[in-house]
Amino acid sequence: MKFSTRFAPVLLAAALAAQSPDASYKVDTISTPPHLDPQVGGIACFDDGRVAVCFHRGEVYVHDPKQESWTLFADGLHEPLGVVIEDERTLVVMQRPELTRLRDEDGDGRADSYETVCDAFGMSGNYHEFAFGPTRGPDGRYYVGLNVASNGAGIRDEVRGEFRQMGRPGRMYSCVPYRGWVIAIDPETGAMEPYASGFRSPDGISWGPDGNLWASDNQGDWLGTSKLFRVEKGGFHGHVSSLIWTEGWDRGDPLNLPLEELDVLRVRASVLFPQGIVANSPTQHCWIPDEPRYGALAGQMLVGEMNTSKILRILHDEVGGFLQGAAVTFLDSADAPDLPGGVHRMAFDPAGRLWTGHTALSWAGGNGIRRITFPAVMPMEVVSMQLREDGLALRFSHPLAAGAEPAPGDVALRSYWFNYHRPYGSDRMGEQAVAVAAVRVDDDRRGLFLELGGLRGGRVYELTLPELKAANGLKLTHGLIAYNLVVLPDGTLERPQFEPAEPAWQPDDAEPIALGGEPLTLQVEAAQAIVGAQVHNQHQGHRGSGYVDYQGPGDEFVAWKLAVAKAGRYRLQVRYALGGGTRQLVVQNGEQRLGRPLDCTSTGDWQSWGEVDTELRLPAGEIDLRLVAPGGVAPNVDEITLTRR
Amino acid sequence: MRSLPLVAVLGGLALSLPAQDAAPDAAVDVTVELGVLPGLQYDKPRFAVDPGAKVAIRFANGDEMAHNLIVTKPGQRLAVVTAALGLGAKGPDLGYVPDTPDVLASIGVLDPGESATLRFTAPETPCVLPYVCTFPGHGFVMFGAVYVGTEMPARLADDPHVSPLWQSGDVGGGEHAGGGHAGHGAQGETTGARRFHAWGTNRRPLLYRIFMPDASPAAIAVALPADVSVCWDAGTCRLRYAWHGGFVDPWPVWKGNGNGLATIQGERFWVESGFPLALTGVGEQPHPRFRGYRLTADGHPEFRYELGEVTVRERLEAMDAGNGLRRRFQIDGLPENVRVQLDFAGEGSGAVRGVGVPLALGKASLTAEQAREFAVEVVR
Repeated sequence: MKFSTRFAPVLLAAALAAQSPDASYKVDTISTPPHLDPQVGGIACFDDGRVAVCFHRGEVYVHDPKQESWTLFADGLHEPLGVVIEDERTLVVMQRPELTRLRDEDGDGRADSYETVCDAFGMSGNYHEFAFGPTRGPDGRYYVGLNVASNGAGIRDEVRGEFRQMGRPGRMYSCVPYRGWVIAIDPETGAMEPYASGFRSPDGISWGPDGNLWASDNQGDWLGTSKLFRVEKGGFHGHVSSLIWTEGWDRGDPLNLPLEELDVLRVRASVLFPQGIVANSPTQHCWIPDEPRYGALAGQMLVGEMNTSKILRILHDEVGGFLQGAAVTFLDSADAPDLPGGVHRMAFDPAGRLWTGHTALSWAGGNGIRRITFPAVMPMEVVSMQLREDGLALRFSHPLAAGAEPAPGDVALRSYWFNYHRPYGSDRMGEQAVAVAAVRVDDDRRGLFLELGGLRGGRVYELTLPELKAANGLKLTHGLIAYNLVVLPDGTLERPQFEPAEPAWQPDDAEPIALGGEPLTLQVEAAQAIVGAQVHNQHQGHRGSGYVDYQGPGDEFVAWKLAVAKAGRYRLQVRYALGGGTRQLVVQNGEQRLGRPLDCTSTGDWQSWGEVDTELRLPAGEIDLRLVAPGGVAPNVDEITLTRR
Repeated sequence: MRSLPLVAVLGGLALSLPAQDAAPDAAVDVTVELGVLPGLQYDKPRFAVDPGAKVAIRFANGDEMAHNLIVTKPGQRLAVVTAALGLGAKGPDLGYVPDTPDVLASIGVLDPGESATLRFTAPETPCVLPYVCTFPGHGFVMFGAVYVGTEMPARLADDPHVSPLWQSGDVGGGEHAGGGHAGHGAQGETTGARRFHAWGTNRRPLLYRIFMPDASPAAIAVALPADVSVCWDAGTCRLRYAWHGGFVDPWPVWKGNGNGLATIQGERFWVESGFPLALTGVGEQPHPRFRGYRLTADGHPEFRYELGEVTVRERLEAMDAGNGLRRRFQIDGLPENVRVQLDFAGEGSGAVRGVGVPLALGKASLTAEQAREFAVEVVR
């Protein structure tokens, strides 16, 4: 029966295709003007179907889909990352330095007035200080998210706004006003109110039809994984650098505040996007129109994902007054091969089609514009996920087929949490499988209840459903859902324990490096331990692959375990760069100081490398040689050489 | 690889010796330092080793995002990238390293600041081994090639084994703020950078907001007819300098992560020293507040800013035949008793002269009536 085994699956698939409705999305590529870098910063739809698009290199075009035409409306803007339509002739864009109203006063289709609505915030000139938005609030004001700067680069000699050195340390930093804040701007007077703090990279800020202000934020320092916040006015949302611009701030460098205190202070995210599983870089939000043709998906919130070809859908669940919820894939390249990565901006047109603008900058992503048409019949999807005292209740877009309910063992569920701390990102902590005690089908067959014991707050519950079949023949398209359980049904907010940090440097486990009669040169960036400090390579002139940049505020160090052949005096030479002033380095054997601190004087700039030396008395045998930056304040260190005298 | 988030612990003698030393570790014939540039690129597009060589790649992730490093069998880069994407939710735990015989050697994900060493033995037969980062989204651009006993094309542009960004010379980095070049070698090899010009060809007048040298981060580059260009700074509400020749090269900002500064194409003929207007009789000088600009029918900019209740407009035009720059000022809302002190101090080959106002050494004192409308020219 050779033929039947070979062809039966094909026939079966054909039969199923004939039976079940077509629930696939159609993705059209919209061609963009020639000679244009088609990275999209903002997209908005006019009521007549035309689409306003701003591009990273400063152009604002109006696209007319009927004519397939593009008309330049404005250009010369500095990295506009969002556009709002005020009226037929007026667009408001957020560009890097300001919120600008573009107005075509003479009606020739091109803006002649570029009115600065608000530029009352600082710019250090660091490339990472993106400005996201605007989104218009129910109070008529424009809301904007201001990125923090990156220590992958420095700041300019001349900045805009007040400079505070206190905000300069840290991986991502806020040394000029309101970086890391959401600000609110009066559309007429331009009056600016600092609205909420604690953001890192809120590329996605939107007032929703639900009356809430939402902001996405990206995994990094202080963000164990990417997040979606319901922004609280006056609230602190977790990334600490922005705290120094809190009115009346008198707590010093927020990097030094106790973690427990910061943890209590921070607003919990509504949704967590586990890195590598759900999303790596969430972007803009938009809402599926609340119209019957979208079936059970009507009114749901979508979130773009920059890093992979994916759009997410949010399943909100208000528990104990807190709006938490889950993220599930709405569409990805597995369902829609024509959907590129870098989903940056989204908007629905009056015909109910979803326009997506893609971008990459210097990261992973895509470019160009796509238009997504929804199917007549919605696919089989999970449309809600709600927490109950004894489990999780799911609802689907279509009733389950007879006998399609899964057994408890068919449902995979695990839970974990993410660390809240200064280092970049977090592993999944305390990961454990969660046993599903029972699965019950709702009477209308449109829902499942997963009975679970021992639900805990402060954890993500990551659910993987099997390919459930609906009565209409459709199969569940996206079965991986991550629910962020912050508040339990009884209203308790449970915080995960902070796991004690692993011992940073365990010299006992390291292989000793022999120090004999010959000079020994060691690249600092390849030290056996680099504790707290970071390896960088952006300043030229270093040897090896980079150098170590001490970050502060702790006593950071680099270390090697050396096997010293002979006790005696050794000369230690340290190659370093220091942009200005004088800083010290301390040499230690374990916790014990060796010799006097090294005084490092300025080398003029960070690209010029100098040398300082000292004499050390080393014992024979194994030592734990450390180069310590007291308080994390030290030059960049490139290389050391030890020579026996 | 994320179990020690604070520390990258490396073992072994060989790792701690500088590359130029003869490696006493007999297990390694050649050590290669590999880093990361902004814009999803390793800092080396390719390198050569001998057949059978024992190779150590010391990979230091100085980037802002996580990366891994995989050396694949010849021609298997895309297969490995695809297999890594197929890991789905298991990817993070596996460091995005798929379990396939196409992987010759690998380092799982290194977080920013971490480093580690990858070792492998080059095949005895000449070939080209791809190396690639399979972190989701990176594998299609972040890769390079190990040439094993086979000749590499002289120019990167002709090398099909290097990343398209290296081929086109678009490898980024941008310049570090405050000067200094990313300087990661191989720039000499680059060719024909892909340049998108936002403004098409030679449109003048034209405004372009971009990071400019010697100005605040909110500066505006203005190209005027007759090859005259100006840096007008919205951060300080004043003209910073003017030059003659071409406009700006935006590429240092556009490439890489955008941290560079545009470069001026031409000769500066005027660098203005400070804010040119002062009001007398108003007490403390009001801080200028930028309010934007209008474009005239032919595209010339008229900047607008406020000094308290006073509104100042400064329109820029080129003088005939590129002889310099004309600046038309309009000041509205001046109380009768207030005077305006002008001080157009500056440096360069250019000279300032008043049009309808008596400027002496760039200075003048105007009544409210005189200040309502006046012009100055900066002659090249």
